[in-house]
Amino acid sequence: MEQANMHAPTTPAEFYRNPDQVMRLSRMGSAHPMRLSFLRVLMRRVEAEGWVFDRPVWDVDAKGVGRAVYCARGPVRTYSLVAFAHDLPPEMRSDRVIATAWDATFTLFDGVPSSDDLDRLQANVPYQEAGRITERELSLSRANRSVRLFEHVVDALAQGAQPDIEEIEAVGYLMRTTAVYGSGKFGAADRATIAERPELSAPFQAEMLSVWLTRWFTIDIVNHLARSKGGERAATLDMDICRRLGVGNSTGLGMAPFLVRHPILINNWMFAREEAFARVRSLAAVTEQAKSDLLAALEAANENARTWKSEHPIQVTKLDDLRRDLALIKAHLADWPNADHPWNALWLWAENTLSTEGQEALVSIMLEPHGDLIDGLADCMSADERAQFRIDGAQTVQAQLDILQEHYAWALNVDFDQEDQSAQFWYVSEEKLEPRLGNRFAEEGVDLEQPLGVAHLAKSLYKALQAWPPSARAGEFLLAHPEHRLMVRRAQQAPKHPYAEVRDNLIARDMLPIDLMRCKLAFFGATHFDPRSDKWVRISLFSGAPYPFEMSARGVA
Amino acid sequence: MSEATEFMSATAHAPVGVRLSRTETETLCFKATRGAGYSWGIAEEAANAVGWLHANGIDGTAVLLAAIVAPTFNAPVMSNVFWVSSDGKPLCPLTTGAALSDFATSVFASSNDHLKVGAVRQPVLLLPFIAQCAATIVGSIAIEWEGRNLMVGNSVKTDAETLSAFLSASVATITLSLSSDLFEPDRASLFALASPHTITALDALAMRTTVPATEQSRNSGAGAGTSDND
Repeated sequence: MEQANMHAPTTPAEFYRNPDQVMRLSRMGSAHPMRLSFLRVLMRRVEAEGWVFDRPVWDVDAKGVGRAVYCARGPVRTYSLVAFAHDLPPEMRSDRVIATAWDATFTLFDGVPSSDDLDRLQANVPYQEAGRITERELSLSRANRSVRLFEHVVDALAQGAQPDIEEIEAVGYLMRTTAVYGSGKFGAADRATIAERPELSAPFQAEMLSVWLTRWFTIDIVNHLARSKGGERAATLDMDICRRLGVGNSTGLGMAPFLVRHPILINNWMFAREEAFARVRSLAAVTEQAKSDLLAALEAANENARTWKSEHPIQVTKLDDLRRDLALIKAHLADWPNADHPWNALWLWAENTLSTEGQEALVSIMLEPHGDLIDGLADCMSADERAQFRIDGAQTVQAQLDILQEHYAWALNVDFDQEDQSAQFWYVSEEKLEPRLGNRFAEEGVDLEQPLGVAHLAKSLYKALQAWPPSARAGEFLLAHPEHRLMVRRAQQAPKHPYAEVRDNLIARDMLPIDLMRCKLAFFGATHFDPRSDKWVRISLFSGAPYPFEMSARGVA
Repeated sequence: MSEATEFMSATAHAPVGVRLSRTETETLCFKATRGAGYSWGIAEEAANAVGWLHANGIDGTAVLLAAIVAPTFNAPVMSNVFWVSSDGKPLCPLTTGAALSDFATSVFASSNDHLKVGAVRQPVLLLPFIAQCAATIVGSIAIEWEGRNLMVGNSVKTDAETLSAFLSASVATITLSLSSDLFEPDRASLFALASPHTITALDALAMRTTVPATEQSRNSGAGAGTSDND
């Protein structure tokens, strides 16, 4: 946010969406991937800088067991995905974060690994959380096969045929990751180690690179197994089928608290998108090129909606809304532009006409034609949280009350005495060490509640402050009330970070964790959001995108 | 204290241990401090403090453990020149450190340019908070302790023997004074190694923040249950 380009050109305030509109769970739970999504940021850089890719190691046996190395060579540094392929008995295949064995395990290595490095990694990476990696590694991840599609594809190719397109579309990926760890987890390099590197300074770039290279591996492993099985007659998977395949991801409740625990980071993600959207809305005219790009983006959204499947009742309804709204948008665009500030007019029409799902899809579609105007905002999406960690103890109690009234009205208005408003609580389970949601009135452990119910924390702070003299200083208040320290820090960060807080009650009975997850996953660039319950989901990454080796070909050409 | 002293000697004198990343160190210290009974906000301060020490090549996990394993929340009674506990018992380094950071702009604002703090337990834990003060007022802060000197800016400058002695001190009274001496941090390739005993003990405290599973929570808490073999 410090960067000057964040506010240049200066966009009139009327074109910004208010945090009270943007930061609601219902809208966050309708987020769509867009130009500023992290995998798009990665691919743009790779293309612009002419990165090249190769696979120096492929040491995999006929059963599909072994190791491989994929190198991504940028202008200054090279990163390598080290992949270990395993032969996993079906009874051990689980997407839960607590599984202990997988079909394949991965790490992103900083540089090109030596064979000693590979041996060290082989002794650790296949064990994931139970192993140790080092500051030479930037991520740790694993993936399981989509059994149904994987077997179908291998069988078809082994017989010299291509797989059935309907089967491909029904699943959308050969393997799905069940966790991708970065940032210092299990001994990996800390974020600070890489934060200054331009290619990794945007959020989650190492993780996205790791998943993109993993997608390449999933193609290689099915071709390899088909050849082992079918010999000479085996076919190679057609490129246009490869293109349809992404990497799946299965994600549980563990992801949801992230958005709440990193308020400044989330603000910067949201602010970048909202700034981008405000810039587009403020444009006075529509060029021919922009209109044609807009229609192309709408077509891509239609194709995405066509192949987007879910059986979850909430998502089924949202998909119905989306498909209907995309048709309405298409009809509306036939007679567009038709007003002053046509982009803004389009949005105002959508706000009055479409479902939240359709509106948020349109935000992504409207951003698409405007790379020159908005892509630079990707540089503003990371956060130096430590630089803003300190509490200003000199701030008065009155100033604190003012902040809460201005930025937390949505929280102060909640009546937590109503059971519906405090029905759930977040905790960490002793057995799995993972975040969980419990029923406050029926389950044990309320005294160990995690500080994620920000609305309740804010209201409690407000009540406590009211008992103090307005001129007292925050530092004095906190010596007497250390229990409010976490919320005082958040509140002090709020004025500079309008999009930092999810403006909904995260302990209400009707709160759906999948809404938090969808927002985060959309910023990653995920498509085909498919809730399997209200607490865990499957998605796809890189579907329809080029493969790294195709980028190499472009670089050479 | 004997238990903590043993942990400390393991890291201060014998360079064997586990190399945790800063992220791991902070996560562990955050949970352990909360598990020991401190507030979430103080737990954040503890994590940030030990993370800062880690980044400066100093293992702070053992001193944190010594500070929180039998917590005393003794907060300072403040005057312009002296911060001391109300009952004469040593101050809690986390509460005191947080207050130093909170009042960074006013600590040296009045006519005095010295502040005496203490006695305080595990005084090395104050270093990150003093660094926060220094960053806020854009300067450095000199620490005088039993005739020895440490300088804190965006890192610590002192001799190895003083640092080692300061790490081992279970209680100290220190005097802070403002310095205009800005200095560049030594980017020495020091790694903070944590003792396995310390990690185990902090883990045990961290586990106090977790909730045992019940049949109901197993069935509903994570919302899974369907087969993944599809």
